[in-house]
Amino acid sequence: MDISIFDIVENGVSNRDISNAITKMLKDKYGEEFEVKMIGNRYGTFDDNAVTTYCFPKSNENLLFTATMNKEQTVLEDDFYLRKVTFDLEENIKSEFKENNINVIVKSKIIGLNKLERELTIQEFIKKYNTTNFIAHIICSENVSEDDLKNIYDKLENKYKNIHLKSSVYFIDENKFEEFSKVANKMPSITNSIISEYSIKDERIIKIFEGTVKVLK
Amino acid sequence: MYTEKELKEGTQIVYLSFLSDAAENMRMDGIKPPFSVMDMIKSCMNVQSAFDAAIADGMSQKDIRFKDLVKYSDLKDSDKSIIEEFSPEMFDWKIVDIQDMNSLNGFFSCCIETSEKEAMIAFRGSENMKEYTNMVNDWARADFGLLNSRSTRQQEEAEKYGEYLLEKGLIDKYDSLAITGHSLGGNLASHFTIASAESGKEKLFNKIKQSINWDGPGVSDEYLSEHQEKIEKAAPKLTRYKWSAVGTLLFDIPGEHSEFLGINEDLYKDDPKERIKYKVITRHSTKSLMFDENGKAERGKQDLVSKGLSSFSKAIDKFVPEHITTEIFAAADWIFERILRIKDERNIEFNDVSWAERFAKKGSILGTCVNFINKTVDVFKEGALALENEISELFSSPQMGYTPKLALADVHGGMLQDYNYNRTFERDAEKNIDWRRKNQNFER
Repeated sequence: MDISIFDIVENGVSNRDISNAITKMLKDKYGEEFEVKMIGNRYGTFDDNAVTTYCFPKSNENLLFTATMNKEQTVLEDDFYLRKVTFDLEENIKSEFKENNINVIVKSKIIGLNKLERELTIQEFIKKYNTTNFIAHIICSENVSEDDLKNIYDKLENKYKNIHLKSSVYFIDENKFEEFSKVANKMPSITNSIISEYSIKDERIIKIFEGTVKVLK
Repeated sequence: MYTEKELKEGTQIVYLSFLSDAAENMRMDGIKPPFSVMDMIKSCMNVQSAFDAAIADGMSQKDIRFKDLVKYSDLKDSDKSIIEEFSPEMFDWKIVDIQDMNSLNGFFSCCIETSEKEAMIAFRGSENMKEYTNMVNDWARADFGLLNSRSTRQQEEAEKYGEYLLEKGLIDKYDSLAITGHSLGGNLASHFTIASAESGKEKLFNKIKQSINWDGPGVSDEYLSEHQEKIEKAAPKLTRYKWSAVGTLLFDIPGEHSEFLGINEDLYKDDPKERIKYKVITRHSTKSLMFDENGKAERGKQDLVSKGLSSFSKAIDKFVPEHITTEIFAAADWIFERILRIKDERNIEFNDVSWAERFAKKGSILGTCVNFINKTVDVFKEGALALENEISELFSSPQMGYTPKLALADVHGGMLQDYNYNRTFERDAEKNIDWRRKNQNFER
């Protein structure tokens, strides 16, 4: 059980209760077992009436997604199906880099959509939401030539026709890569500010838009 | 100079959940900051589908305002409710820079340009995300860090952010800056200003004309000693507005201007359940505040709940040794949770006034707990015995319709049932003390 001075001021619902309530609601909604990895953001929100959790299905502990519940334990907002799409994309980006012997950390997001009503493959998603953008942060420990990057993205474009993908590829110090990997594994997504803590040596912005790959920087 | 309403509005912008995504989305399109608030909102919503949804719902094209598009968009409900409260000019404000460490340590701040020569630095100050399986160790470093602390991790981030803004020249063009934040963000706003009073940061400090802590907690005794010199210099710039228990926690900063604000008493008048929550808990939101036509917030007086908890938090900070702070709060929380659970299980109803009074009284119950546990380490067993009389008194009142014996049976029964939890707690508490020893914070 966790406690903060703000919990006392508010309603004292324990983390154990929150975790149980959220995993039960997720199971009712999706028909599979879930676990909570992280809990927070209870106060310092606009009306201090919600709690945020990072959860994962027991079948895949790497698939972290966000689930939010209000303190009455009645409303649950989660991005499980959206994260399944972005998680698959992340795995595919990783394997394309891996084919070039490059290890990367990838976190991606869908912009302009906050929930999906049913499970979709990446291809189905692109077909249904053809104007929606993916953004991705890709972190490498070694430098990759512009030609290699272009090849990797050409393959991605070939695989996911009509995808709108904007990405930043960051090159960070090799000795910071493992440390960053541990931090990134605890979050469903990362921000530019967090990556900046890990000594960025260089950055490339690469976009796939209407069938064309562009390296911007 | 900003009106109080404008400074409150600055705190609302940082609560938007999509700011970082919007900034990244625009940056990857080659657009450089500053970004207008409206463009950022648009970049995270499908404007066409929101428009279509508004038309499909019977709105005529000429009546559709931007706020309507937001309402019909796929943005999160929490974001929609924030944007709904925006004044028209806020959509033209520009985000110059965002520091979003929210997933890492809870810190979120941004620099907002409101005119050519004026900007605000606003802090969100969220609780950080903590690992569910490793809670106790995290108390010391996270939100609990405010107690017995010289500075918290988020305060350090706020300080770093000031240095970053200086180094990058992001504030050079402005004649004046206002620092603002609600809740923990308010505490960070005060710390940002205090930290800026350090020698070498004059360029930043001299530009700060206003610094408002909106119902955020104060600071610890240790903090006051550690930052004494800077506090003396910064205090005339600091204002702290309070209207709930959160805003009265811990110590005021000597020399800061401090006032109680009034809340909108008409809210939830017809909904008794929501009204109780509002009087005790949700009043802390900036939505409770009222402003006159000149943007000045209505003044008010301190409520009962905050009186109780204010003393309690100060007592904990001042008299309780650092290494057992977390243990004390675990015990207090355990008892508090039991009280609420019993209330729910037995369907006990409180009326508005009695609930507020009882909540305040909990301050004294917990205070007893603190004093007692200060003398003993056996938190759960002994602490509960010391609380027997007061808990039984609380539960046996006619309004509760509950007998002392039942109350005690519930409290003790619950403790025995929670044997596994207690074991986990003890183990984690040991780890916590070990962690502190390693970090040389054990001896003060």
